[in-house]
Amino acid sequence: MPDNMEIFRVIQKKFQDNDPSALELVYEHFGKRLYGYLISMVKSPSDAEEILNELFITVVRKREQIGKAENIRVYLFAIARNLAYEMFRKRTSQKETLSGYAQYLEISEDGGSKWDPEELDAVRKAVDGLPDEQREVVVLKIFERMTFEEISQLMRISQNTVASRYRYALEKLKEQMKGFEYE
Amino acid sequence: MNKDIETRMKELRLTAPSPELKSKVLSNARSVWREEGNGTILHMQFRSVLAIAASLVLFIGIIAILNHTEDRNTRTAMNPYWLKNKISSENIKFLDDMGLGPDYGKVIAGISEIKHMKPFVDRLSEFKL
Repeated sequence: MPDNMEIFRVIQKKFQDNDPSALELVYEHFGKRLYGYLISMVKSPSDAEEILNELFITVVRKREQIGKAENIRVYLFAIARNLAYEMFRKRTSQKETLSGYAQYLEISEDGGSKWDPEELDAVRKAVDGLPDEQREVVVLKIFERMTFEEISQLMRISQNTVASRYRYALEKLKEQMKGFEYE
Repeated sequence: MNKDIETRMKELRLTAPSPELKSKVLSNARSVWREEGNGTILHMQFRSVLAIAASLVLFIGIIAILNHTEDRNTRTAMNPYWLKNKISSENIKFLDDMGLGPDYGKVIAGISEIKHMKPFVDRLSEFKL
């Protein structure tokens, strides 16, 4: 975490100095994570790409605020979240989405144990079956490695609510994954 | 109990964007940054021009007011009624200095308005009274 904090500080300093190379750093550090979060919300690669593009333009326009933001990670995810909700409001027809399964979940390179396709499929189905607000907490906590405090700031709900949503989500996932020896 | 599924799920990740997306996103963002930068410079230049124009208007305004005041003073000074009143008040002051008091001045000023008393007033004038 201290490494991250140092990177956050460097990025913010660059924004304060009006240095465009800050964008490169933001993409390197947050690009994949923001895209992953967006695709888990909008479930459409083209929509996620469009929002990410819009997000970086918003970053340019709000660079002064980002330079002073208390937590740049929360700030960037909040922009992503707002843009995704804006897209939901504008969206009139259902576009090509990764429906049915959470296909946005992949085995990471450093994924220790072996995953058989059946188990991966089951996890994807289970995550996809979660209510939106619980799935969002799971994505932010497990895949984005955010703290409950950061998630509560981002979603503008109390930490207790975040924690209980997370607990309910894990219980549901465990229930769905019964056949795979999760205890 | 939940920790197992949590740990297992941490071996997964969210899908990554295509490598081409980075250059597209950054190029768009950079061009907006440049435009914003130019906009800021133009904005700053506009503000300087505006400040100079405002100072000029203020300067012209002050000159116009001073000119108007001076003009009004001149017109007042050149006004024959004003001149007459001024001379009259100077006469009253003179009489006052002579110890003849303001009432005397009023009387003389009043008498001078009466036509048939004019010779008397002229006679007084000869004595500079």
